[in-house]
Amino acid sequence: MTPQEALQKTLAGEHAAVYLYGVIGGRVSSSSAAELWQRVRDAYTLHRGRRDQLMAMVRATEAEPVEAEVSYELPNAAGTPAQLQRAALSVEQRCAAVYADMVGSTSGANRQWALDALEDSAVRLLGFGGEPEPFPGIGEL
Amino acid sequence: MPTPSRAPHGARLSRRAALATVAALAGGALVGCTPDRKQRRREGEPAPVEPKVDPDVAVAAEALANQERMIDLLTATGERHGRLVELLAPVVATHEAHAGLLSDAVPDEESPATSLSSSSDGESSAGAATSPSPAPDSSEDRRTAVAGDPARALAQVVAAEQELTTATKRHAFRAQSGAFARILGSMAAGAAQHADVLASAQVGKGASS
Repeated sequence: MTPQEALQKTLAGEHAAVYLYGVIGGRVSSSSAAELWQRVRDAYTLHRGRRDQLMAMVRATEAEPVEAEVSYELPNAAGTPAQLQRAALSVEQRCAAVYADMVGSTSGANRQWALDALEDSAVRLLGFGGEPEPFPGIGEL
Repeated sequence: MPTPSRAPHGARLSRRAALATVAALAGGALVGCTPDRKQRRREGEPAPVEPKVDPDVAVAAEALANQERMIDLLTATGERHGRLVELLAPVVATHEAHAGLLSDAVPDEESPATSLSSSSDGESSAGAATSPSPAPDSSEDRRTAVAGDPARALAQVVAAEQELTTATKRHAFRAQSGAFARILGSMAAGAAQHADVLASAQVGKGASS
């Protein structure tokens, strides 16, 4: 995977994350599940910012950023608070895997960006019920 | 949908391939007489100054030393505060997994005990300077270096995990092999997870064994 392909792949992931966090956030009650609502809202804001950063990073390579798809499939039914939390966890785990791949396919400032994103994602998913694991973002280890 | 986890074929490593990546560092550790180098020598040109080991092996040796210091600190903390052993057990398991993987990448002659002390380049020194504090030599010394108050001892561990996260990210940044950088980046993220969990753990007084 070339560095430019890695950026595009990560951007595609961010498009999905922004969409899915938006849907999940719309289904979480801000009153009965206030903590989850806040965590989802924070994640949505963060990933939207990362999406915009990545679009600029792709353009810096003189490529056209990949566009978002019309819609994305939720990881589960996302009806109950427990399902919504698991859906958010799934989104963040997928993001961690994408960031780990980006670390391996980039260098310099782009690799540093991916390292910071991977660390943040690994910690953020704990807030959605995830457990620490030896190799976050690397499923095969 | 193009979920973030669906990488193009071949972009991600199988477990065996990931382990092979690390083992390959050890296999290529010593810079031998490459054809180009032999050619230069035949032609009487002065040989350029080359590092004795693959740069990524040096990175692995430093990272391994940091992991072993972290395990020493966790062990000493558990010895001094028995009630923390259960809390720290998954942390120890993570760092043992990291150390196990890294040790496969480091040939014996580049073991942490020798590589850091003999390191002379600036980056290595900087990496060592940001790593968790060196553990005292003896088991008793290590134990007495742990704070007597369990909450403070836990705070020491959290600080060390945070330092290890930073140091491992620096190693990932320096790694020349992308596959190795990916593994190191993941290790850093794993340390960050434990720092976060331990920072929010509630520990009462009187946890000493």
